[in-house]
Amino acid sequence: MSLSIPFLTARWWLNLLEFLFERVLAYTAAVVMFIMMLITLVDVVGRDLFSAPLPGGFEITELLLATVIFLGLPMVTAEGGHVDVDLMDSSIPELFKPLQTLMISLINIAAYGTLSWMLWLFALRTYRYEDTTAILQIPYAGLVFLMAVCCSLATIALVFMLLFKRNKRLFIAEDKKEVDL
Amino acid sequence: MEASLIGFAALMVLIFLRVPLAVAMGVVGVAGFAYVQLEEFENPRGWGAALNMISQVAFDTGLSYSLSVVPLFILMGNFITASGLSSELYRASNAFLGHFKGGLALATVVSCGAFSAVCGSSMATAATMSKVAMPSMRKYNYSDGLASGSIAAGGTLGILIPPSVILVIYGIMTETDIGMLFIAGLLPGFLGVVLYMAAVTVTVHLKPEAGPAAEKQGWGERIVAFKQVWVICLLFTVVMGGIYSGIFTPTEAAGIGASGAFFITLLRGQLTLKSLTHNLISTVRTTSMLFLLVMGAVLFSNFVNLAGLPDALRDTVLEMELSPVYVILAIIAIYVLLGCVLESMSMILLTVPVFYPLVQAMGFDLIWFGILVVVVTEISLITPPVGLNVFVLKAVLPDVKLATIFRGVTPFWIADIVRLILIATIPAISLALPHMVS
Repeated sequence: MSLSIPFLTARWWLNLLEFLFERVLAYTAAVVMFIMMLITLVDVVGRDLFSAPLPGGFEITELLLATVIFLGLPMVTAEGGHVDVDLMDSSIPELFKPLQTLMISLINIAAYGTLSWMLWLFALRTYRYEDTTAILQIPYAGLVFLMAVCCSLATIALVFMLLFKRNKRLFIAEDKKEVDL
Repeated sequence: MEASLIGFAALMVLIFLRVPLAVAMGVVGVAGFAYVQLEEFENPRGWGAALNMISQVAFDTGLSYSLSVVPLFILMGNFITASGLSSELYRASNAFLGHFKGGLALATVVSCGAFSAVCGSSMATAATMSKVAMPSMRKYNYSDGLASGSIAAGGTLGILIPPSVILVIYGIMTETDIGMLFIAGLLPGFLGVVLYMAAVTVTVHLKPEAGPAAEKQGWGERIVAFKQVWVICLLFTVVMGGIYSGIFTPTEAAGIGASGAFFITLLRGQLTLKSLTHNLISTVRTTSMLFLLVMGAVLFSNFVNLAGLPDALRDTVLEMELSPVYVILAIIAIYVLLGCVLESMSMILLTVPVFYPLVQAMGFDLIWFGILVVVVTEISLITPPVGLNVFVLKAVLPDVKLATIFRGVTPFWIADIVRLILIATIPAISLALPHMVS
C-alpha cells in the first residue's frame, strides 16, 4: 500500500466540491427559497387581512431571489445543467471532438471567470460606497460578495471539469439519479 | 446594424458548437457591446463599459422584484406535482369522459389543461401527466402513438394557461402587464384544450382501434372523483382571481400559489422533510439555470439595441410599407424555423427584444403578440427535431420509439396550426378578457 495523502488526490477535491455544492450551498438555498415563499405569504396576509404589511417585504424578496440564484449556480454548473444545443454533435467529425470540448471549456471558464472578477470588483465598490436598500437600509455588500464567491466556485468547478472529466459533469443531480430526463 | 448581424451569426456558430446558450449570448453580447462602443461611438473606454455591464446586469437581474415571480411559480408547480393530485385529476376527467371513443385520451388532454392551470412549465406538465395517464391508456390498449401524443401535446398547454413562466419573461422584456398577459392566455388555452379534444376525436374516428372506449361511470362515482380535485380549482381561482381583481400583484399571487400548493401537499400527507428539500432544491436548480439564461440574453440584447438592430429593422420594414399581415406571417415563419433548433425560453429571450418594437410600431397589441409568440413556442415543443416535450415522454417511456411519439403528435400539431391561425386572425380570442378587466 502506497502512502496516500488524501487532499492531494483529485477524488478528495471532487468529493469536497460535491459536499459543498450539493449539501451546503443547496440546502442553504432551499431554506432561502422557503423563506422567500413565506415572506410573500406573510406580506399579503398581513396587508389584506390585518392591514399590517411587512415593511420592506419586496426588498427582502429581491435579496433572497439573488441569493437563491447564485447559491444554485455552482451546483447547476457542476451538474452540467445549463441549456445547450446538441443538434450538430453528430455531424462534427470524431477528430475534432477533443478540440470542440476544449474550446467549449475554455469559453465557459473565460466567461465565468470574467463574471466572477467583475462581481468581486463590484462587491468592493458596494462595500466602499456602503450602498444599502432604500427602506430597510440593508447593505448590499454582503450579497454581492456572496454572488462573487458563488461565481468563483462555479468557475473552479469548470476548471475541474476540464482537468478531470473532459468537460463532462462533475456529479449527477440528486433528482436525476432516478429518471434521467 | 452590420455589427448585430455579425453578432447573430457568431452566436449561432457558438450555439451549434454546443457552447451553453447563456454563455454564448453573454460572450457575444459583451464583445459586441465593446466593439460598437469602440468603433461606432469612438468611445476609447469601450471594453471598460462592456465589462462593467456584466456585473451591473447580474445585479439588476438577480435583484429584480418582478422576476421573483418565476421561482415562486416553479415552486408551486413542483409542490403540486409532489402532491399526487395529478392522478386524482386524471381520475376525475376519466369519470366524465372515459366512456367515449378515445375517452382516455380526451381525459388526458383535459387533465393536462387543468394541471397547467397550477403549473407554469410545459415539460413538468408532460412529465407529471405521463406518469398517471400512460398506464391507464395502456391498460385499455390505446395505441402508443395516440397515448404519448396526447400527453406531449397536452403538456404544451403548461406555458399558455396561466401561470406561465414564459409569459412572465415576455411581460418583463416588453414592459407589458403580466397580470393582463395571464388573463389573455385563458381563452386561447381553453381553445387549445377544445381543439386537442377534436384532434383525439378525429384520430379515433379514422382509426377506432387506437382508442377504445372504457366503461361508463355513474354520477355517484363522478361526484366522488370530482370532490378530490376541488382544491386545484380553489388554488387556481385564488391565484388568478387575485390577479384578475387586482388584489395581488403577480409576484404576490405566485407566493400565495406556492404557499397554497405547499399546504395542500402537506395536508395530503405527501410531504416529508426529504421531499420538501427535494422540491425546494429542484426549484433552486431551475431558477439558477433560467436566470443565467436571462442574464446572457440581457447582455446580448443590450448589444443588439446599442447596435440599433431593432430600430433599423422597424424603420426598414415600415419604409417598405408591407401589409401588416405579411409582417406577422414572416415573424411567425421565423419562430417556427427557430423553434426547430432552439429551446423555447432561449428563443423567446433572443427574438422578442428584436421584434417587439416593430410589432408595436405597426399598431399591434403587445398582449396579443405575446400570446401569439407563446402559441408558436408551444408548437415548437412538439415539432421535430428538438420537440422538447416529445423527449420528455421518451425519457419517461423508454420502450416507445421516438418516431411513434412524433407520429402520434401529428394530429395535435395540426390542431395547433388551426389554433395559431385563429388566434392570429381573431385578436378578440386573446384580448376580450383583458379588455373586460381594464
